[in-house]
Amino acid sequence: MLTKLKHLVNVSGVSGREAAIAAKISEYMTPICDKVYTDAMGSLIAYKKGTGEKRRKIMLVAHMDEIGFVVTHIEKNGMLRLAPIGGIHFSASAFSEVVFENGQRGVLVPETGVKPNDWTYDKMVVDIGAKDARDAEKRVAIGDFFSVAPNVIKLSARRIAGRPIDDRIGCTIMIEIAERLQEEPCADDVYFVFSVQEEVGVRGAGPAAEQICPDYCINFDVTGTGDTIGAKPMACELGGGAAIKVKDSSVLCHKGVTDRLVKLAKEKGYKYQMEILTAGGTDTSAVQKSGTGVKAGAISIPTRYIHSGVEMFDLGDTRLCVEITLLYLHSDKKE
Amino acid sequence: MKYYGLELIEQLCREFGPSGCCDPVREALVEQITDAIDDYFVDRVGNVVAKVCGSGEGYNAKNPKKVLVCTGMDEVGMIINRVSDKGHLKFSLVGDIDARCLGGKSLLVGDGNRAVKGIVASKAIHLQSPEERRKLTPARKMYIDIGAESADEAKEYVDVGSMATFDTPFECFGEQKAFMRAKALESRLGCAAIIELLRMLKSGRVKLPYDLYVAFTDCSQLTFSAARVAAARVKPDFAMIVEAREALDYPGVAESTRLCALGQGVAIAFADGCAIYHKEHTAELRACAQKNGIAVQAVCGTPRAQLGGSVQQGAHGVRMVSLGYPVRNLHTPVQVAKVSDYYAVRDLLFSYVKEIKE
Repeated sequence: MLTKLKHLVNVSGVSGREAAIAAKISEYMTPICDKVYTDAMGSLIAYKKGTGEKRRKIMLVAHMDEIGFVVTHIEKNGMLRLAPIGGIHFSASAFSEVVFENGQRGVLVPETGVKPNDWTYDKMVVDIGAKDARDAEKRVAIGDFFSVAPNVIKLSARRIAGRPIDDRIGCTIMIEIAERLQEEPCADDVYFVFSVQEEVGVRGAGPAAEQICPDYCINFDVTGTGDTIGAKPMACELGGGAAIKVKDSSVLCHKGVTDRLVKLAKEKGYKYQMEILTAGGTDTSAVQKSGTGVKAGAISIPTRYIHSGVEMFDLGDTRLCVEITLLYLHSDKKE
Repeated sequence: MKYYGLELIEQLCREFGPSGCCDPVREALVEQITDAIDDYFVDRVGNVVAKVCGSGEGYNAKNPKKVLVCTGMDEVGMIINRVSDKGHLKFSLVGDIDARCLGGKSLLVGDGNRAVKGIVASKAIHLQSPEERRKLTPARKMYIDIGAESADEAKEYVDVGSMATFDTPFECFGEQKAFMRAKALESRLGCAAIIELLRMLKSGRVKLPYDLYVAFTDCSQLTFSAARVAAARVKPDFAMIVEAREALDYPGVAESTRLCALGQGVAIAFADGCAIYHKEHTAELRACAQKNGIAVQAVCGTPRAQLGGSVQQGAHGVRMVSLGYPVRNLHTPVQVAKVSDYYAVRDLLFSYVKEIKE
């Protein structure tokens, strides 16, 4: 699982520029699915036909895009101005290495003398080591997207830090599930949706769900935790098991789906915790509101330091996300 | 009566059309496009959607591809929420208006069929306390004066729910009259460009390999843009978003934060606050401009916007490009645009629709 995650993390996919990561994921999905295609917005959809007679449509979704930046202007001295794509904490991304789609490297730094409290996108520049604007223009163009350099650090047998864990870990979980379904086929049709543009306001998952019209949906994404120093109280911690979502600020999950997930986990003795996220939205809401409404739930991966370069999660939690989802897929009762 | 070029823009800008109250604009648009289209309809939320059937080489008559060109038609304004005993009108803002630009401005107040003149007034400066003078007067402390002396008199002309727009005549100004100023340029420039596009296609007998839809949409100044409804109905395979882009090319604004500038041509955005435009098609659009000698500039930033995102979500996902026209003083009574930018947008639309291979 870690190897897979490393593969996915190392391919760039800033919101709106997901073609490369989609291609990487389809390498995994194409051999084990019945149909793999992208929709108009670029979401990758892998369809796995069920073995049953009366098949329901289950949609699993994780977003493959990551937060990043776009070049907006090139200063005379060759430094680049930028705008954020998605929710960037500039204090967390200052003084970092950045990578462009074409492989160009650079460093993201604040203007000299600007205090950390005032680090906003219009006070930041990217230095790509160009000697002047002309030199810079040979290597990058206005409108090019880029992100903080990918990274995976194995801290202990279970704890991993790096970026973009949000939400390549969700993608990894879905690939893992698809592989396991090869051994143990599911009676229902399963659609694996690797959505685009989640980080800029859940724009991709809704259109994908509109085409699929699923009966049920499970979303995989990272969630915050209450186990860091100074954290707001939240009964969710690394190593506490898969986080079954009750709500976040964009969605109230379908109670039937949530209850079923809890019941299945309990029966098997799998460790789980309830997720009540007070800030942040996920694809779950976009799918829920698609068509005439979809019964949607989510299983989240407890993650510390989200949207930084050192997003940290627990491999044990991640494996439980896979196991509980498989129980759900194989369960006759979905709610 | 058909109008062309700057006269067309002038006529469109003159029409009364705050978000949700666009009847005169709709009528004017329909009158201007009827000869150049195959069909049109006004949908349930008031969008005007017109269709030009394809017929060119590669046109699939059974299952035609659909391209949508979308722009707004409404303008920012005010809505009356109370008529005082003395005949003064209290109001809320419709759209993203900076209250600082309101004081003393002339308005048209009514419902589109009948509008009366009015002005925005607030407590006179010499009656304000020193503290009040330092502070910005919020819109809720201002009122509209339509010259009525009682509530009854005022209600002969307007009522709660009536709307208002700025009342600034269209004028060309500057060296060789290269600039134009008016209210409502934010949407009507796009409408004019699309009207002229339709006429150019008609007069040039251009055969397109797809069905071309154009949508003039309402409520483009609000968060819930009606473009969503038009896009859901048309279900395009490809969409072109024509909208104003704020030009912050004022003194004192660093070049890196000015978004776009007047006179530099079509302002092509790669992303804005609600949509990311398609990379390859945007590159194609730029190449098309270069081939045809049409000036383009990149929008240097990700400005606030509604239209593109509404179309993309309404269509349940669609590839899009953005053709913007730079406008200074957006959402004020004195919006300023450059004539050459208008023609650049119109010509690039015309050149590009012929190239789309859908």
